[in-house]
Amino acid sequence: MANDAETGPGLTFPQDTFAKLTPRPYLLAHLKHKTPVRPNGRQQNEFRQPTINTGSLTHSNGSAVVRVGDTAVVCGVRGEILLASDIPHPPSDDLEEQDLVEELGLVVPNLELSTGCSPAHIPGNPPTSLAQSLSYRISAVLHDSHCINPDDLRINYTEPKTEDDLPDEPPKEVTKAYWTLYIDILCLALDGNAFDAALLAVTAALRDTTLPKAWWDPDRESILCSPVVSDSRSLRLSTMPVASSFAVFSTASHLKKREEAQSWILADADGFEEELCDETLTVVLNSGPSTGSGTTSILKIEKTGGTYIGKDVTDLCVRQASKRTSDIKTALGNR
Amino acid sequence: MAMLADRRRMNAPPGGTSPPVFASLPEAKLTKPIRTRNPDEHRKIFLRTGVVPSASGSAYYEISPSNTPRQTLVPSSSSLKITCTVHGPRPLPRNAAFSSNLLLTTHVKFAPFATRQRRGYVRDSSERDLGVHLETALRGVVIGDRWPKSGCEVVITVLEGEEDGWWADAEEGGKAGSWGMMNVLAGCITVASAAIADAGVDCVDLVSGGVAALTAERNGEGVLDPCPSEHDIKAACVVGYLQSRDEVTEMWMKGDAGSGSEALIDNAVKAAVLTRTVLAEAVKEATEMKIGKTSEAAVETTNTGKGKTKDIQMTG
Amino acid sequence: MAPYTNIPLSPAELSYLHTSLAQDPPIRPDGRSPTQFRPLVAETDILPSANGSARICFADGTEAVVGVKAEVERTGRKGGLVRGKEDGEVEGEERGEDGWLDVSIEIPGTRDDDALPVFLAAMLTEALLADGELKGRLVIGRVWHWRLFVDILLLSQPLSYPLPLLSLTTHLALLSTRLPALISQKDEDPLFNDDWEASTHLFPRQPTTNEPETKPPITLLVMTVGTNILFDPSSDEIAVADAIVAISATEDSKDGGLKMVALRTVDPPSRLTSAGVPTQANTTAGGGLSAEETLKLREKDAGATVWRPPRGGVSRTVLGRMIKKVVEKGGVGEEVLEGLRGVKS
Repeated sequence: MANDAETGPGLTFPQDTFAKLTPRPYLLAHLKHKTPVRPNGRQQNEFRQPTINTGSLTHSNGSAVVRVGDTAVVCGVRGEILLASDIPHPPSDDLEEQDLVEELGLVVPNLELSTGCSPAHIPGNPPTSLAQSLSYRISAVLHDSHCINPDDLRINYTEPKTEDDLPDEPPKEVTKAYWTLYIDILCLALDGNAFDAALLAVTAALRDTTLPKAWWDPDRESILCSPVVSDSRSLRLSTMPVASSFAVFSTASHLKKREEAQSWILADADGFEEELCDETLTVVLNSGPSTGSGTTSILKIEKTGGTYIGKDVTDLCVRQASKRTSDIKTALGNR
Repeated sequence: MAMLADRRRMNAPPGGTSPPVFASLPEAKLTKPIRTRNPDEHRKIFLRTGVVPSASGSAYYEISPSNTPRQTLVPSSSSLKITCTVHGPRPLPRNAAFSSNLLLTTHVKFAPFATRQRRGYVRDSSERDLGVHLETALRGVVIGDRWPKSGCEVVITVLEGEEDGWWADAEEGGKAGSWGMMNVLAGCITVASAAIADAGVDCVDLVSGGVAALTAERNGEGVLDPCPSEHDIKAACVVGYLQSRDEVTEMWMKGDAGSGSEALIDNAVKAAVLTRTVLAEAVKEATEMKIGKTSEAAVETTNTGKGKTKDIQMTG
Repeated sequence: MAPYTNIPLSPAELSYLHTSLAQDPPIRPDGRSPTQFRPLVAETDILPSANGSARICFADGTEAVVGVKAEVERTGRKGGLVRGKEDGEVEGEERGEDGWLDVSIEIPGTRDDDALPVFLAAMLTEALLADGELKGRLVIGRVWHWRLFVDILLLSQPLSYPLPLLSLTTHLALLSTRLPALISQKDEDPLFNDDWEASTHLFPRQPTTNEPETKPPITLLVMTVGTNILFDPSSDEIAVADAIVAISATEDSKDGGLKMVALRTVDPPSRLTSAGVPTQANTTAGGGLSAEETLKLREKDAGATVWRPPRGGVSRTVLGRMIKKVVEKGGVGEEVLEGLRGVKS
């Protein structure tokens, strides 16, 4: 294939057949043009535009459906009550407030891929390592970004004054229970880059979440909630993490000299491109009031699979991710 | 709820959580919803095929939610949302025994947020039972002997299911349950039929699902497409119906119908005929689009040099 | 083909069976009439440590044992609505919950998530819970209730759909189930009488005749071939069925007859059998069709002279006839219940 003097008559195929038979040369032929373009028509640094719909599920406290190209992800947030008396190891007093959510396990995200979203993910098997690692990565981002304020999840009770209390002392507030948020993410259709879409769906769903007003009833010794809509309050996210993933397509192989290899960075790889790329880079940027009025900071950079991406390339990707983050913020803000 | 720790998933906090219990406050006017449609009127259905391009066939089914604004935080009725993907016909694995017919496998799964009580990720017996019902409905309509040594997977995810009754009644002990499951089954049959047609598997006819019920309020007059939170259901029936052959591939009836069982079956068939019109419309639209695309491609390959759909020459 | 259906019959045998069953009157392989049941042996109260038990052996060698055990359990809170004190205390009877009845089926050679045990368990559970009365009797008080475990064991190999066997055995076991008598008052922790003689039947008996006031339902398997309706099908007959339906019926306390409480179609295993090849199309036997003729044979089902797996479903009129035959006065359902009445422990 490298020596391209025409040796004999060639075969003619329609585009789809060529893509199925020899995917690598197909992609390479596209990228080798003077102005490289990808088979799906996008530029190298072009992301797919997301479509976000929130609040469509009736049984969740918050929900979102996100479509990024042909990848579709639905996320539902459910709140349940964890009584403080049920916690086996109550948190110590010197635990930082922002670590409380992680310590008590109040946010439980799970990503389910075995929904028939692609021919490789048929139900009937336990979660693959891909699904498990995606769930864990989302959990890590949610905890490290401190986007959920533990105060929003507390259900407090003001203890009535007894005779033993001093008259000047303010009434004691005790946390009787916590809201636990079950974040269930289902992938309905997979065409590459599940992580970005899933994190976007989680963020959109959390912003849409409303929790009912809850109080401790001393007579029943349990928590009661109000079904009135006007009593409920929205969950406020203090920061907003947005992920941008990049894949590297490379012609490097152990049969060739290293200098002869060519590589291209592809932003937001779709299913076809993801299969052909070994090296990936994910940049998670965090933005919001607590990071300093409207500025964005780097929360996480994850890179696996190869050695092409160095300092300069990472810098370039972070800039592209920053632009992507502001596009996403606009899309979320305009829902 | 005490859940066994599933090693492969993120688990609930140790200590367990319980769903919120609502207090009946006077300012929350909790009134049981009543049916505003005619007894023989179906709720509006939205059905579209081709929603998952990487699968052989797919479809999405939704019953449009009612337009009344939410009075209480807990909704009084849900709107069914089901998505179905079909993967196949695919060759069976090498070590599988020879089968002269298409091996159809169905998987039905409720999403954890699909019902008022949160469900887990592991399939429980009611979901497997729905899978068995669905397989019975589909086996009768698929022409299996044209696909030897092949298997076909039908995967259904229920994003939102129907409840068994009005939520505020739940505290006073259960009514005879599972009426919600029957509505879900009818939806599953219709959406699977659309997805199978989208995948191009040979079928005898389009099978459509319909539900009818006998309620306590109406004293023997049947209703089509019952919404369980609006009625006090005494008996209900789901059918998978083939209109061109006037045959029933699947029937599930429960409850005390007494002498009205034949009328109940007829009503369920009427409901199936109503859903079939929606089904046929959706399948026709999808087929017309597909034919339009292939004829476009055929036209363009004859005049080469048109850019995108030009055939590629491969040498070396 | 045997691997997926366990039907060791060739297309010629299947065709022979189907034709003989489609005759008017149908000719069954063992010479029974369409509504005749095979003889069975039944006995109850065979397990002294269970609250109720029964065992039935059918004439074809299939055998099942059912044990019923009851445990006291705390009524959990499930979420929902709580009426405040202003509305007054919630009076009236506590109604039971469906989850308090636990039916588990063990069939040798299958896992518990295979299709057969799942559908059998679902069918039996919904028949038992259909009239809502059984779970009402499991209530002890506001805080405590009985949880009933019905464990069904099939002791022989499953020769396809042992549903009537399991259903009749469960019927007998539940009829013989006794629950210990309650001594404690309303909301205290339950305390029961040691004396087994004082225990009450789960299905209470009338004081004068000692007959049960209500009975659990029975489930029968009914199949059709053409326009013929056959009861108690053997495994060979099931292999050529056009449609199979499971119907649950119980005694109607008002009418005195039977009423249907649940119905379910069952997928006939005949759909997975391989079709025969007609001699015309068999090239090794000297035949051979042109492409056009083969296409007509395939697409239009034209000239079908050999066994083909059935397509489509069952017509509504046939279904109506099936239901009638089970529940009508003097019909098959009543015959079966009559036969079970004479079972002694």
